[in-house]
Amino acid sequence: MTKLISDTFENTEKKKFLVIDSISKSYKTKEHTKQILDKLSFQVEKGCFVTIFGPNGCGKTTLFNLIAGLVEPDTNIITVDGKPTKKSRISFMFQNSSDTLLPWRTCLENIAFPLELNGIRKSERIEKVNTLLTSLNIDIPLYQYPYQCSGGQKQLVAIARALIQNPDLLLMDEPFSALDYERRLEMENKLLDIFSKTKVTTLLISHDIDEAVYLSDKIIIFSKMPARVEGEVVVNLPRPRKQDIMETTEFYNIRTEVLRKFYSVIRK
Amino acid sequence: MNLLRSRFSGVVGIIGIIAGWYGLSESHIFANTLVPYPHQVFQSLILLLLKGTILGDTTLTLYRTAISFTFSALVGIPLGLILGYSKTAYRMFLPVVDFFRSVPATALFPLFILFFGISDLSVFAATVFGAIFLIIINAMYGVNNANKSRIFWAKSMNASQIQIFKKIVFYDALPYVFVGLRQALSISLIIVIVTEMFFGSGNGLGYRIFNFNLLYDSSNMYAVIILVGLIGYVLNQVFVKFEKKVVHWIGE
Repeated sequence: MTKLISDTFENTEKKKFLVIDSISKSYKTKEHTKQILDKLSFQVEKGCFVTIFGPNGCGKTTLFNLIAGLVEPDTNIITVDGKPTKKSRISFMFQNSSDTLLPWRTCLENIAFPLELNGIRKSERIEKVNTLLTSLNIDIPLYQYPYQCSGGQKQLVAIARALIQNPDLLLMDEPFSALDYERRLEMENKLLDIFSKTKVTTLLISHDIDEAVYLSDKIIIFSKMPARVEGEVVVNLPRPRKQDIMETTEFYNIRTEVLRKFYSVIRK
Repeated sequence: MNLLRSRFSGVVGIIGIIAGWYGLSESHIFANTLVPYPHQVFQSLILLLLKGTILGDTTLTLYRTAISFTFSALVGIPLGLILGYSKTAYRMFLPVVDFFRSVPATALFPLFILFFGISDLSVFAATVFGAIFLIIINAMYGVNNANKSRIFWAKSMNASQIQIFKKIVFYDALPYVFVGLRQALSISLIIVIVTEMFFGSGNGLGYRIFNFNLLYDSSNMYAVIILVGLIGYVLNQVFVKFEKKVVHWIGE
């Protein structure tokens, strides 16, 4: 009995890394108030890769803006590891994230930019970038400019830039939506590899169900706007994962479960 | 055919112009004093340069252009950037900027002469007036058009307003700043030449053109016009090279 209690206690403790507890957000226009999020609640464990899956325009990007501290919620605050998000290191990769690279800076200067903002010395910045890239086994032409790089290389620069400050939380808003299928698979595999090495808690927005199942530990299905959690699917596929896992029955079953929940959302 | 595609294909246009000019002189539709032969004009140009009489004027014109342009840039760029970045400053000063840039610099020549007399200061004031608004407007426009998602991203990294301005907005505005500078450089040379003609400065390339015109010495007049054209062309080419080096990421 005691063991059971402590177990549950530990579980809830573990769960409470990213805590979104009854968060609402609305925008007022002249005519009416638009409720984007209405008392949204969910939690993410430390070191977990969670994908948010939901209909278009359900408020996912707004949620990310709230978590990143770019917008203030109407009610409550979002916490990471018990601290308000403002005091946590959160890296946000936007849709078309390679457009947010700074074209007047070399790849090296782009990756080091978050460190530069924090006033870290140049020599130390270069060292940190080199250490990160070596540990993640990422190969990019550091002294070239982004416009001299391929689409995949730019994505890797954006990912490295997101990881350089060793973030508590990584937010990715459809980061690969601009890539073709082949590059996308390549980036997904790279991301799996990076995630297994860094174990950074990651929240991904995706519209690609295979991508969601392939990458995640858990998939949270959102309702139409205002977004609520409509269901969760735990992806208990073993890691490290390789491409061929997509051909297994387990993968297929999880995929079907997500799809069913998603259908029930959009039919409502 | 290869010549037409090579980097020397521009020569074709020049040869065409000179041939047309030669034809016009040969036709005698206009008197030789109005349209002298090309070789006469080039002979005059070479003589002017060899005798060195024109070099002093060239130096003075370039000096006036350089001083006015540099001053316009040093004052105009920061002003434009601030106007673009600060919504308050923008609202307060946009009507003023829009009004003054609509006033032709030439319309204020009498006023400048009244204030500064027949002096380099008048030339300087008129030229700065004509150039500075181009720089301000373009710099302002550049800041307004800075890439929003980069700024938004920097905000998500908790960058301060000053960091965002110095490390992102400034660079995003830089290509526009250069557009303004290039326009300002051209207009500076134009206004310096015009003021030298009419302010009675007694020297400078503009004065020479006007003077040769009064003397009906059209061969020399055309020679100086060609010299001014060449100077403008070289200034622009040098500037474009410099611009490409600084804002290397544009058009890539």
